[in-house]
Amino acid sequence: MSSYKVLIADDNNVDRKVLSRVVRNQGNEVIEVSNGFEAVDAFREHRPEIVLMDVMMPGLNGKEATRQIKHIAGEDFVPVIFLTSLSDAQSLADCLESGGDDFLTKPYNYIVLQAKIDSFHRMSEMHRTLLNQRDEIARVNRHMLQEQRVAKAVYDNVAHAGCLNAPNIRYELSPLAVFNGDVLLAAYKPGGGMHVVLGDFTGHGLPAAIGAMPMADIFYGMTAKGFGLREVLREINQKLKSILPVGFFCCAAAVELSPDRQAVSVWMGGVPDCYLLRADGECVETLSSRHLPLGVLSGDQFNDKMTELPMSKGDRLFLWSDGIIEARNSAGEMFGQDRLLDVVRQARKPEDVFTAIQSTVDAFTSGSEKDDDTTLIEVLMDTLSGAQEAQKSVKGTAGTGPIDWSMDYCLEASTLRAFNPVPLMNHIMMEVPGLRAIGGQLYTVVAELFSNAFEHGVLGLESSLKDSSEGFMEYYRQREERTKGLKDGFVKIRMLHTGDGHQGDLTLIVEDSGEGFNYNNGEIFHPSENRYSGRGIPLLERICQSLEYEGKGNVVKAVIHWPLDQEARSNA
Amino acid sequence: MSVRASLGDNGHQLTIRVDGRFDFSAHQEFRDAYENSTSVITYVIDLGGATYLDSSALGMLLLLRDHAGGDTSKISITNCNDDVRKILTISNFEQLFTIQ
Amino acid sequence: MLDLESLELLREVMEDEFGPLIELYIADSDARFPQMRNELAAGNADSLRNIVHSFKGASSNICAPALTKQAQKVEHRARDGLLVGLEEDIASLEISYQLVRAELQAML
Repeated sequence: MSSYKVLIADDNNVDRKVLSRVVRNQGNEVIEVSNGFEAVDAFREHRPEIVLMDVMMPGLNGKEATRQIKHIAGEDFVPVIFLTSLSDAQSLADCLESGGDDFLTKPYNYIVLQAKIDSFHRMSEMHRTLLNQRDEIARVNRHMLQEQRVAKAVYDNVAHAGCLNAPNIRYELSPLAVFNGDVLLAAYKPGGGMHVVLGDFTGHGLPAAIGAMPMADIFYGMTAKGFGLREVLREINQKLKSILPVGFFCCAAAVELSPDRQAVSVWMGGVPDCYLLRADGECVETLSSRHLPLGVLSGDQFNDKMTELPMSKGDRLFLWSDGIIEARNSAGEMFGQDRLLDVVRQARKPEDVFTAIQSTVDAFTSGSEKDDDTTLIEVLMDTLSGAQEAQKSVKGTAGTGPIDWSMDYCLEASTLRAFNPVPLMNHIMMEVPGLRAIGGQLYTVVAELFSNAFEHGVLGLESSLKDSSEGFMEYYRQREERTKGLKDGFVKIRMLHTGDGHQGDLTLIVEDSGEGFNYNNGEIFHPSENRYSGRGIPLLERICQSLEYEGKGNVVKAVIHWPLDQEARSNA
Repeated sequence: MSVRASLGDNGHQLTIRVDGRFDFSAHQEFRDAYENSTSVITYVIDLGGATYLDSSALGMLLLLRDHAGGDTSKISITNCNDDVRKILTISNFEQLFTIQ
Repeated sequence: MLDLESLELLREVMEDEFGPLIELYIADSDARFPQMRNELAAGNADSLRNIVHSFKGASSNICAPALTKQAQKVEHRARDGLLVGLEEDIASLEISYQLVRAELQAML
């Protein structure tokens, strides 16, 4: 049996001695005092775990001493057992009323006394455990909040490296948005214009926050280097796909604002309909999600196709996560897309729409429990005067890339069996700042030209095979078989770039060891020609300024001029 | 919310019916519904009784798709009401699932 | 006058402190009777009551139930302020005490 410290306060010597002996016999330590004042002092000094208190004592009586002891004990549970020879029910009830936890009548029943001390000790143990757990929870909670503050500070440094405070942007984002999974990113492009991304990660808390960091990092890093939004999205998707567990993803709306072309390109995956409000305030165009959210599809399945729309100065684009649509009123009803569209349509002036949305949603949700995850951004088409500062700082690095250069790269059969040169070539091209913005399109061109040269030229595969679905399978079966057995052949790639830092031409010449084919350059640009459709040529013609076959048809020369004109950008 | 699973077509087709709000609270039950079925070839997710779908439900569907073989999986989602369908459409899940 | 069974239990519980306890009871109680008479003479009902109360408690723990009961009657009269004729009650209480005292001393 464990030992407790027991305080006995009784002015009656005989009673105190008897009690003291019984309690000591149980293995406890006893402190004896003979009046109320001494009891309070002894409690302060020795902090006993249980107090046995006579009710009637000269000086300070037992009830008053108990009140003081309970006060000193604070939130610790110190059971006080009143000792009394009073036996009527009312007197005993009075004892408990005045702060006692139990009573013991004289003469003492030693067995009952023993049981009571044990039971109260168990109770104080429980109470102590409870307090400890409560304090532990409070401590863990404080710790967690502290960690969140630090995490948020780190996150803010990464996420707010951009230009969310640009004059053409208005936004609302919960201060702890990082923990509800909402992300807003905006950055000026070195070549002019702006990238904006609104993201909404599945889930809440740490799992939602964790993906936002690499996303912001990639967004700002690649945008500053001059990469186009499609490349940025592709990279973010790839990253999220590789780091997030299956079932976690990021719904997103991404916007490339181009004031020089008075155009906007939009990519939406998994976010609710967004609106483009014209400067006249009348016309509202709806933009809808066309893609799967980021982080769902693997790199080769990811679709980076953007929707391009004319956007003039004064036009406004409104983007939001589903927080606004799903905001609920006190009746549990959702705000919904229709109410949102009404607010956009009915606002008196275009510049009022943003605050009208905020106040309407606030009024709608008032009285209900707020989820506080309303994320909303307005992007206004303007001249982006703020961009110039940002551009100057980046220009220095942007202009230092290679300008006039050429490279020859010859791949022999032994290399072709197992090596794909396209990523390497893409890497080399991406050293030219002006080419970064069209990296995705360039990749398409190089991949297309190389696979034509390798599959039709070196391996001699018939593109017409791919016309039927059985043939398609057969085509790839043959491709695999012939690649394995490849002994002779080559693909030569020549890359040549000229330019002045603001514009340039990239020439790609791909020659293969094959027999070539009977070409007619005049017809290359007609996608309806069956003969070429299998070779992916129609796709290339939109991107390339010129595309010609040479020699016996085993050499193809493509010229790409940058910056790409509008049509090439949107169609490719 | 309730999740009920039933096998058909000699154990080759598993139908999972979700009623009520299809959200994170269905997580364990939904997982249990398909995890131990080995002979299943096609999956039918019957959302006829589902009133609402949130992003974690979309996540659960992706997990099922992964379990069912990813790109080679055969999963159809049936009987969606307008709200549920809208959420699936916004997320472009018709690219991954057959939505009827 | 004594509940011998309980007293035996008390002896077991107190072990070596049994003797000193009995002596303490006798010393305390011997002193209480002159105090009772003084307070009664001074008309201090409350003080009288406290002294009898303590005597009652001690007597109960020393296993003298009849004495305890008798003390309780005196205590109640003092509590209720009925001091007239209490002198005789105190005298008869002391006689009972002397019997208990003698029995206890015989046990030492």
